[in-house]
Amino acid sequence: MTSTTEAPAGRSEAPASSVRRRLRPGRADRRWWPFAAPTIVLTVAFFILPFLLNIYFAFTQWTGFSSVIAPNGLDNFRNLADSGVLWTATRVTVTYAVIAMLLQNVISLGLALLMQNTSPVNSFFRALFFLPVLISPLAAGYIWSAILEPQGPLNAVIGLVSPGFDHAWLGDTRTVLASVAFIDVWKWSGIVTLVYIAGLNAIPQSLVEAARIDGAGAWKIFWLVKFRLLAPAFTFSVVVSFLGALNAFDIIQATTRGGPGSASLVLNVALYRQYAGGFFGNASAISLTIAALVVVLGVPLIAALRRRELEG
Amino acid sequence: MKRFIAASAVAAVAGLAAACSNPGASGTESSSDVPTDGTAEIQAQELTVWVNPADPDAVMNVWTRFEEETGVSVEIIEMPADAFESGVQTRWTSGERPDILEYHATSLFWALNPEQNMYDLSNMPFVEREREVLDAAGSLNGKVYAAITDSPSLFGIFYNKKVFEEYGLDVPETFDDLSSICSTLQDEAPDVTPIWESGGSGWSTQIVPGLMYMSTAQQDGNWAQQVLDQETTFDGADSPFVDGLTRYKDFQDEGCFNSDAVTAQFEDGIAAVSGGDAAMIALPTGLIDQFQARLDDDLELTNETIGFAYPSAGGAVSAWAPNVAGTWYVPRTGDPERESTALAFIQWATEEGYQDFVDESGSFPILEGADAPDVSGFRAEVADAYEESTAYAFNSNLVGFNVEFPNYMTGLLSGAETPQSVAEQSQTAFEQAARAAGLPGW
Repeated sequence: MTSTTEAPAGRSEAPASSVRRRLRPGRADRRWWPFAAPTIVLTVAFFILPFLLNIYFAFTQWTGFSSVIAPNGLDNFRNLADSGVLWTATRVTVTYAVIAMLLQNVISLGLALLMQNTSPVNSFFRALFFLPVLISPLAAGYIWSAILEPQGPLNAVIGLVSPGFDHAWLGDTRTVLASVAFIDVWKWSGIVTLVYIAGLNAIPQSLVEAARIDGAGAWKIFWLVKFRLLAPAFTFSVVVSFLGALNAFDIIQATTRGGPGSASLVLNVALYRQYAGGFFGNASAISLTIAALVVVLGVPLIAALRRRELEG
Repeated sequence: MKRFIAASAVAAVAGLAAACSNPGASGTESSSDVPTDGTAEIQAQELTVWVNPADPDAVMNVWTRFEEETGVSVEIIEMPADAFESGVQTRWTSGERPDILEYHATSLFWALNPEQNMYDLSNMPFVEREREVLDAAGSLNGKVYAAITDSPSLFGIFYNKKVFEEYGLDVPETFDDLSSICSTLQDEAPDVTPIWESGGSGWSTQIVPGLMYMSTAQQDGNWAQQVLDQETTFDGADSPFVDGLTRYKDFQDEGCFNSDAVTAQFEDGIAAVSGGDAAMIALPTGLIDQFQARLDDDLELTNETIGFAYPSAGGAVSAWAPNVAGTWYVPRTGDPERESTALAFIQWATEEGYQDFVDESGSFPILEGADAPDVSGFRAEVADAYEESTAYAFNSNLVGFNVEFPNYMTGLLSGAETPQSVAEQSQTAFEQAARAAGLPGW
């Protein structure tokens, strides 16, 4: 009996001293370096350094016209504000992101509810709705440009109900932003749908059954049980779709190039125009604006949704 | 960890310091002894060329003949078609250089910092043979950088001769004539679109309100130079620019354009005019081949069907601008042998190889000393227009504005902008760019 009480005590001492050695600052502590170094180097080279350079260049007069890059204070931002580009593009970008985020999440959640259960039919439709994710955004833009033409197939279908219908979806300032946001939704909703399906399937069936036994209807089960327990998936999907839309470029460039006029001029398209004209300082200023916008809008959004997860 | 942070900080600061020298301006002085007076010799066996993928066969065959005659192997790299300018700008800014660059001869090439990055071709023999063109295009601060070999594109109206004949229409010379043709067709041929406009293509919307209307002001008093010299503005009182936009908007309001003018593509307009569904479309003359392709690739049928008119505000004046195709620059690459070979190519293409190019292109020669090919029909009309009445396209050297103009025009077409608001934005964009580019007096 004594031996049984001593032996564990003896065994427990050795690991304790080993832990202390691991925690004590010393040579062994640095064994994580070889594993972390590649990631750190890549992050510094491809994220931190470009980000620091972006901040610097945003406050310089850097153009293709001259070999000199000179600090110019807030001139780039002032120029962009005076020409109306900064405010217009920021407004359009935020509006676009909100529309895309709302449409994406409502549609994807609906699809997830319809295709939640795994069955051959649902598997087929899950794959079908995921297909657009695999298509190049530029190709998606060109395809939808053709579909949305005044004499295109969409208007032809509407024309069956309303003969002569020839609305220019991408040429009307009232519908262009919602139209390109819809293309973005079509392109990416497959991923968001999968996230919601995974979230729905992680909800314990016993909770749903308990609610049903307590007399809850389909709506109450969805709203009071499923939707609340979907909070982590909801946070992820809302944040990814919103921040992704703030960085929109390819689909809009392929469909409207920011037009007509500046009706779909998101910040990245405005940046591209400045860059193509050789005004790299202005382009850097717009890039910094996008980064600031992501932080200013993204951080509070994530904080609010995380809080909701804990409270819910 | 502290050492890592310190190392990162050093790397970041080093990066910032390195960034203070413009990577896109990395011209080299090491090759300044390569002769630029036409005596440069072929010293390399390979050349790399960046070209526009829309180049016609006549231009591409220049490379083939050069290879056959000299034994030099030419690697042709096509820039992206729908992002040609930004594609060139991106690679150029990162410090990449071809041995020969095919690019715009308008102010767009100023953004490549030619003084630092390109050979000054002012002493090449071809310059004296095209002095008039090079006074306006392909040069900066008195130095010639571009070898322009193709005849310029003229901007004006392609019209369907059969439609005009059927409804007794005269070739338009003024914007009032265009308005009158529109009214006649609306009354007598409601199924025929009077003027096809292509807002979906963007770039082509500059032609009617800008290039065509402003040619009168360009010919009368070089309006664009007045703007550059701060003697007038886009949005000033009695601005011809605002007048042009107003007339253009009136055309749209009066139903002279196709109903899908905001989103239509110019290729559809070429099909519509070739087939007689539309009477007119404003495009550069370089696109005549696309009409011919629509007309069974039949030159005779094309000449019978398509005519060229160049109405402007106060009479017939065509706007000209150099083609990208056949406009070549010699960048400083730091390799004297390849630079010498590139300069030798320019000498060859503008001397020994030039007549073959002119004969194949079927266009009038831009360099003196070459025999004009025997042409008729549309190409003869274009040659006559260039001889009779022409003005340099007004937007060519108005930096900042010229890249934004198509966007302003789609805003005007969609109703989001007015002629006055476009003029104000144009003035702001130009002023900012002129200061950033350091133009004289700005």
